[in-house]
Amino acid sequence: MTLSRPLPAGPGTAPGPGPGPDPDAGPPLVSVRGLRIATTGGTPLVHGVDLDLVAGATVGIVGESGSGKTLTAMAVAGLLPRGVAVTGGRIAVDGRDVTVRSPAERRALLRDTFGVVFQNPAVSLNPRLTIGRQLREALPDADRRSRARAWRRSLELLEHVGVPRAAQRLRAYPHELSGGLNQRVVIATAIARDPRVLVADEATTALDVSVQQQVLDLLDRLRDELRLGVLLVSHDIGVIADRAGQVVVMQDGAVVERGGTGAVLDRPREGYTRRLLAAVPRLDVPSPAGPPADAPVLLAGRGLVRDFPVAGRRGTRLRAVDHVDITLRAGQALGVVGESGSGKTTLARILVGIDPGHGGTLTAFGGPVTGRVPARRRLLRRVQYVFQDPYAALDPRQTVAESIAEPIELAGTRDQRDRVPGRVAELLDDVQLARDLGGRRPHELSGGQRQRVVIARALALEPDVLIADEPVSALDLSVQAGVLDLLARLRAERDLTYLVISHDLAVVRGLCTDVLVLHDGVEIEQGPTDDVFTAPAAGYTRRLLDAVPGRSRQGSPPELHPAIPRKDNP
Amino acid sequence: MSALAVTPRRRAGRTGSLVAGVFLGAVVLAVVFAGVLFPGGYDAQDLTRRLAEPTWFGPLPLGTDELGRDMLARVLYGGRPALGISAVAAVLATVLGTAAALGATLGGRPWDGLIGRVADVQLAVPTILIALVVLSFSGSGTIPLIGVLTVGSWVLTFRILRAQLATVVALPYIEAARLAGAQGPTLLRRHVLPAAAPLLVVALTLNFSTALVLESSLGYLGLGIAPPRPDWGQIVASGQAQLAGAWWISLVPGAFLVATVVSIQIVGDRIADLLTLPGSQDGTR
Repeated sequence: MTLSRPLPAGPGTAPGPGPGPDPDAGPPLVSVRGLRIATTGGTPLVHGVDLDLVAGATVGIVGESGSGKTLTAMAVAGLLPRGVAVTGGRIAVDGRDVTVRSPAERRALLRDTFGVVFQNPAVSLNPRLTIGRQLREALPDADRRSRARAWRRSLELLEHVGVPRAAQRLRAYPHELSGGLNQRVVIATAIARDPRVLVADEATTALDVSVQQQVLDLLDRLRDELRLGVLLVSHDIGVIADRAGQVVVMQDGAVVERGGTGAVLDRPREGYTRRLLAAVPRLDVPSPAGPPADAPVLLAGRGLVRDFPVAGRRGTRLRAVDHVDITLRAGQALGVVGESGSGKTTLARILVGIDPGHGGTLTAFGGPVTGRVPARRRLLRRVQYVFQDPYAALDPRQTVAESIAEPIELAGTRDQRDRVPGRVAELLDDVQLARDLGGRRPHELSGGQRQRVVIARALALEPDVLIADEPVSALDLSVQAGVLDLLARLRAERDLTYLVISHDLAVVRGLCTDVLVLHDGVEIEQGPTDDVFTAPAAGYTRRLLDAVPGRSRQGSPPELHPAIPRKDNP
Repeated sequence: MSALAVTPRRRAGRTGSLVAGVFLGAVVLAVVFAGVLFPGGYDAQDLTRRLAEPTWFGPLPLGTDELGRDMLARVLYGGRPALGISAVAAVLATVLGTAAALGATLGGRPWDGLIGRVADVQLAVPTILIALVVLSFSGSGTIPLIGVLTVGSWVLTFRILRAQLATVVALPYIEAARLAGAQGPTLLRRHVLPAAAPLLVVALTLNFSTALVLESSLGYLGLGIAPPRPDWGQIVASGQAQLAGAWWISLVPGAFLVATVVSIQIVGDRIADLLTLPGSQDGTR
């Protein structure tokens, strides 16, 4: 966090975080006026976006999926996908209009001006080429021709973006590097031609919070060292709040609001911006109270272990879950948090009985759970699972009603089976979906609607325990809030017990009574959510909390005054 | 902001598939009702009209052969063994291949390995060679022909479906169905096979056309249906010697063969397209 500036927050405080536009910087580096984008079929996607970017500043574009934020950024960099084209407006670099040039001229100008960092380094790097090869390809012709020169320059670039042991890494393949290091490599390729503008499209979305923080720090450092203009596209208001001086809020292809980040986010003028901000789960809200300590134990795991074989290395095994003890009492909502690879999903799969695990004991409702998967599932029938990705968890060939009815038909009691249609209608009501959606198929539903279907399906057999694996991570912010509200309401109405897995600490804070922190399959700490979040005992938990983006806007860290409701919380 | 890439997908055009479907339907009907159309049979000789040229829209539209037999009658009767044997073999090969693919996917590593190696061995030996050996021992009856054609076609179905099923079985919604209580045959019927349905249609039509081509090749080599019963490949062979003078004897059954194979493919593609869900997220076609 070397570059992040301490920021005042709350009503009455003016400028936002990050360096704002410098009034002495001359004409804007990139200037976009009235940009229109449409499909070649004629469907308009972006209607009239204005944007100014000066050297040494970060402009953030924030919006939900379908808002046109990525299209806008890609249009500026000249990288629109096939089937989509700029249909109007002006994009100027240093006052020279890009849109009127010949394709060859335009390519040359864009190539020398823009470097682009894409969302997922696992996709934007070629898995079959070494890092060195890929960096060399990105270098300007003069450097690329001589092997020695290319090597030297690649080494410099990797060191510049903070990749340790750079010489060794040049010979490595992408899969040998972590996600964060790979994203640094992508950034190195983006700056290889000395661009003047860096376009970062959700560049840190696929990364863990602590890694995200490091990569964003790197972008800040490069901006200042190389006087780059940075166009930061993100759905995450927290990231934008921390890093961008100026922000553009987009919805449905149009700009809703723009201005200094502090001004826009602290005093939003438009209803949409306000709704978006209100939907951000906050770290400084009190968590729901847990059940009494003598509440019956529904699920208990002791010394749970699960190993996975390591691909390509015979005999080596990776311990995903390492002697974890977990107790779930009736009425509890236990949040399991940790970074990717911490074993949280594996733990949940053991608890729901679709993974037998390799060690430890599991008891459910007082009895031991043993045997193979089908036997375990019979014992754990009152434990149901909400999948992470509602796009993949529903059979695309089944209608909504068929999906919800399936568990009842397959595993319900005779009584339940006799009145399937009525039950499906009730369940649709419970998750606040219109009954006539029952005839639709998943691809006709939005992400939020699909997740509601997944929840309704999990509720179909009237379970006591609901295990939800990242129930909102695939959803847009405003939709997230609705699903989280639904989960909270269902818990209260039906005395459900939850186990919620999330990488998002704010989601756990608002929903869970207790929290379990995992790191590399090992339990780091466990306790009531309020206690763990306000006074974390472990250094790891503290680092995790510190890395959550958007804390500059949420003001002082919650551990200082946890229970005081904030005035700037709309 | 994910699905930015616009992926063009191969589609069998509406008009093209309609034409192919009508042609295929007409051929199949004419072949099935050859007995009604030509009550005189395929062997009615009339030496006064030997080697008559095709009149196309006249009385002997496709001409006659060296014994004065109506070529149209011979081609339609000849379609019976060609289409019938190929169709039966295609269905058997598809069923066998699907069963093998299910066994390999769901049976675990040993079964996967065993079935995969059998398929490798099968692929390593040319089908025509197997056919030559088997048919020269057993004689060329209908049953041995069906057997040889099935053996020659199941590997393709197995390979296509095994890859597809391995993808489908790993999808979250299959696991979700398991959690909902589905297992074994229920899981297959409700979720796995429907996801493989478009590919099954493709496999079936592909099997049909490869079987048809192979059956005709065997007929051409004299290992198929024995004369006097006509068969497409066999008629092509019989006309070969007179290609210069009476080209139609070879070319007419050959043209029927090619047009039928192409039509089967086009119709199969169209059916697969119709079975594929718009915007499906499950990695199937």
